[in-house]
Amino acid sequence: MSVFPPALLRLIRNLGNLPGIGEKTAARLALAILRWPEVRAKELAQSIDEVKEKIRFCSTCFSFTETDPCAICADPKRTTDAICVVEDPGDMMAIEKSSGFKGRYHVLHGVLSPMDGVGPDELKIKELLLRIKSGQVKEVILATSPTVAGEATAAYLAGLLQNEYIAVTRIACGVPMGTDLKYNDEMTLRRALEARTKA
Amino acid sequence: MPLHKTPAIILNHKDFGESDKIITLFTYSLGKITSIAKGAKRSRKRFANQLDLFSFVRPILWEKQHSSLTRIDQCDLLQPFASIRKVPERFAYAAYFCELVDAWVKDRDPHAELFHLLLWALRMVDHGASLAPLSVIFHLRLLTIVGYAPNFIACVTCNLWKGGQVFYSFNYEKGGIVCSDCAFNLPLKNRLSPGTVKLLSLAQKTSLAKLSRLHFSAQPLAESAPILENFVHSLLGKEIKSYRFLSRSHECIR
Repeated sequence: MSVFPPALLRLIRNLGNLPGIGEKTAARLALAILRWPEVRAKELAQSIDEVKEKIRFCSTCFSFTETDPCAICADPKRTTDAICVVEDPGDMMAIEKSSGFKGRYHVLHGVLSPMDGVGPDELKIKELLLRIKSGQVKEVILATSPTVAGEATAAYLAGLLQNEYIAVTRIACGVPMGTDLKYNDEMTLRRALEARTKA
Repeated sequence: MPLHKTPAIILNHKDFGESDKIITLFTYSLGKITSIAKGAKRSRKRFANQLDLFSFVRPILWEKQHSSLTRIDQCDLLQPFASIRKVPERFAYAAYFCELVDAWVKDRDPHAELFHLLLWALRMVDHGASLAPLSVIFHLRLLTIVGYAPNFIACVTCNLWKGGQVFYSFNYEKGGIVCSDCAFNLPLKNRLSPGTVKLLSLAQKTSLAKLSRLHFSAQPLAESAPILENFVHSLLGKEIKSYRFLSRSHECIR
């Protein structure tokens, strides 16, 4: 027999379904929610409900949005001739924070992952090709992570786009700002030298 | 808490929690083990580029009492196979080879020969070897190492070697060739020409160092690849997701 009442057990089980949350953490979170004032707990429930009801994919860039097209795709100040291809909305937010890019985005929602059964059809690649075919795009920046899967996805996209009359570029990989050069690994240093620019 | 330092190949990894990673390693001395790398997603100091797929590494592993999960504290990168990531087809084959090994081996069952085979195959993929013949050789050697070596010496039904045959067939149940006299009820698609049988027999025996000298032309490849793939998959009895990816993506990648 469980020490917790059924309603609390249900909450623990549901919280335990979240990524990175084990049984103990789920129980700790459930007990914390139980101790909260009713208003706060209801606000949490409402925000979960709201997220499921209002958030959808932008039909252009496939990031999460409440309005379609999303704020970035609808912004007339942003250039339409450059698309930055990212793995997920989190990467898009990181690039946005840097303020280094003023074009549009395209979210793939993953990278090629043969062992997880994720192939080109599972990613938003066809949609990217359709956007490019529309004719406004002059440059596609491949900003997938510099991991094996991210690089392979970038190579795959570069291959697909080689016959299109657009510039296909890859974000540079190299020495992080503020680090001591000698503490970087060989592969990072090699890539940094390959991606060197004129001073 | 025992400490291990052993060469290993990274078969797979998954994100765990905010910043950790769960790594499946095929180690030389401990076999396949699962390990947690705390802070691997964030720390640039400890694991920069070292815990990525297919990398040949030397990790320091801590064993916890009453837990099958080891902990990686430090890792030396021995070979990153940097060219695999540059060509999608190489990436797909490397993933397929790693998944096959992952599916074949049990946890904590050291297998030095299989370790050398996978390392050799990843090196060949990285060096840009022809992938279809490499895949045939990999299947063949994998079967030989795990004890299911296909019989290319004599007919598995009559136990006789009959030279001068126009074709042989492959019997999946008995795991070997069948002469044309005994092959009356076997499907036509299981056929192997005498030249292919000879080449496969040679590929079974040749040392890894000399294997790259073997030349597979289009006919032996077309005949042997589907048979060996089906044989491996039927013995495994489970789906290899990378194979589905390979088959589906072949057209797009090529």
